[in-house]
Amino acid sequence: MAVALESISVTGTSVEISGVSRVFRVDGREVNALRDVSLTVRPGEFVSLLGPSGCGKSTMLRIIAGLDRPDAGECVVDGAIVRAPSLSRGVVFQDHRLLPWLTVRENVLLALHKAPIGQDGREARVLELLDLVGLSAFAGAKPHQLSGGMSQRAAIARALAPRPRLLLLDEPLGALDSLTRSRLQGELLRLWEHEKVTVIMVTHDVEEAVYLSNRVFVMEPRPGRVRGIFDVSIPYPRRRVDADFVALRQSILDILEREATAAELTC
Amino acid sequence: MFRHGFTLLFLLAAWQLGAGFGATAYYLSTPVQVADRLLEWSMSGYVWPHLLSTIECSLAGFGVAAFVGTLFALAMASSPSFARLLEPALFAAFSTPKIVIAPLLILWIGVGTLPVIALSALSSFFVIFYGSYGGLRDVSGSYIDTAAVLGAGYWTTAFQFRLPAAGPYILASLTQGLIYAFHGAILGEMTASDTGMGYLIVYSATSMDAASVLAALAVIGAVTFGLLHLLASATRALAAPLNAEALA
Ligand SMILES: Nc1ncnc2c1ncn2[C@@H]1O[C@H](COP(=O)(O)OP(=O)(O)O)[C@@H](O)[C@H]1O
Ligand SMILES: [Mg+2]
Repeated sequence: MAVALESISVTGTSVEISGVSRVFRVDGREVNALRDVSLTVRPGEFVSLLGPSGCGKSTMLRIIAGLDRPDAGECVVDGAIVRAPSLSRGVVFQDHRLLPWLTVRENVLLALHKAPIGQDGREARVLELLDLVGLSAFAGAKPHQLSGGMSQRAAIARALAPRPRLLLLDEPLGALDSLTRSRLQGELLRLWEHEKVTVIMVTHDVEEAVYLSNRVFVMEPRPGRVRGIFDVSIPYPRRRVDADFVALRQSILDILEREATAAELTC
Repeated sequence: MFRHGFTLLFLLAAWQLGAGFGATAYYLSTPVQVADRLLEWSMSGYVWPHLLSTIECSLAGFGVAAFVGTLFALAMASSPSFARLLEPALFAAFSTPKIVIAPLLILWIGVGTLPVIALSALSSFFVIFYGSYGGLRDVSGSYIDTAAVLGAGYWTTAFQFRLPAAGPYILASLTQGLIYAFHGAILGEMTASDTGMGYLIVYSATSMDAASVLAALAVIGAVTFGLLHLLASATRALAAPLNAEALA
């Protein structure tokens, strides 16, 4: 069985980020998007980068994806330094970035243009993915005909198409209403278990981070850095009203709160 | 539409009446004479080969310009170093009036349809090139990033991402390009051909036949008008799926 074989062979990658700094010049000033950030993600782990906007979360993700290079330090994925994007790392951006002139099916198919599985294999893989994200009925739809949640499902299907071993999600549910958002959170967990990939997700939603992740990296801005790491040892599926869930959410919120107050005082 | 028709009628009437004074009828002819000439041309079939030749040369010139123009624009937009290499030469060529090239074209390729097509393509090329180049170069970085994370190489990025993303700009530049191709062909016929609407104008003018010159201009105007309308609806139809995204 092809499916059984895949679930054995496909495992997530490890990520080691050491001493990564990234400085942008904006209007003659230097913006320290990231300063000396180090963190490790274990194979198959689901981690979140959590923090207010401007703390360098997207920059971190772009560096791991290979879309941006650090000014100092290095990012190592599966033992190799990241220098350019790779099909072994799938990316989902906050705006779905589906190509508006292609149908959902064609968008996913485009991600397979290099897959050595023949045209039939590609078509089959697309159907399998659309089924996985519940979009089979919308294969022929154009992106503008989809709701926000459906667009993100399609974007996730596209990112998973080349069987990446690391999935990078930049606020994938950030633009969705809260109902759609919590439903898709459940879907993300299901996909993570199904695909056995490592997931690094950027979010500014504490509850989302606690609900989904094995570990939460709390970041703070100016300069962007990791403020604290939280282990979430609550077993899946989690319930948002359980005492330890609420307690952990609160302690993370407290840190962010203190951060925000400190930032106000220094401004 | 009704009001436009009324304005036109008024102008024609003023022309008809005004032309009666002095020697102006000799230079200006009159609407009745022009209409008479148009009728005579279409009845005798005299105008059709000329019109057909102009349209054929325009389409040929446009085809060449559209192909080469968008290809150059795409190549330069995809590769900044290629752009830096070619930009000065293209700009120099762009700033040269195309009509001064006509004698050179005659020198190189003689008289006939070939120099007409060449001048048509040349006039059209720069409009298409510059219009497409701007759109292709400024395609949002998010498309290019998406291409990169999907493993798209140089060609895939250029043809599957950049080209369709700049679709509306390219369509607009092609619309303009077709008009320029038509006018370029007429310019070419005026200097380097013995057929076509351009030739007809020069021939009529040298025979002191104002009615024929104006009749030819009327035909050219009608074709340009028709082309513009055709292109506007084609552009709308083609760009609809792209704009739908922006509206959604
Ligand atoms: N391409 C860029 N050019 C200039 N400044 C940038 C660029 N990308 C990010 N920045 C700046 O770096 C900081 C961190 O940005 P970002 O990584 O997008 O944060 P986050 O995703 O956490 O909101 C911000 O101050 C932002 O303005
Ligand atoms: Mg961000």
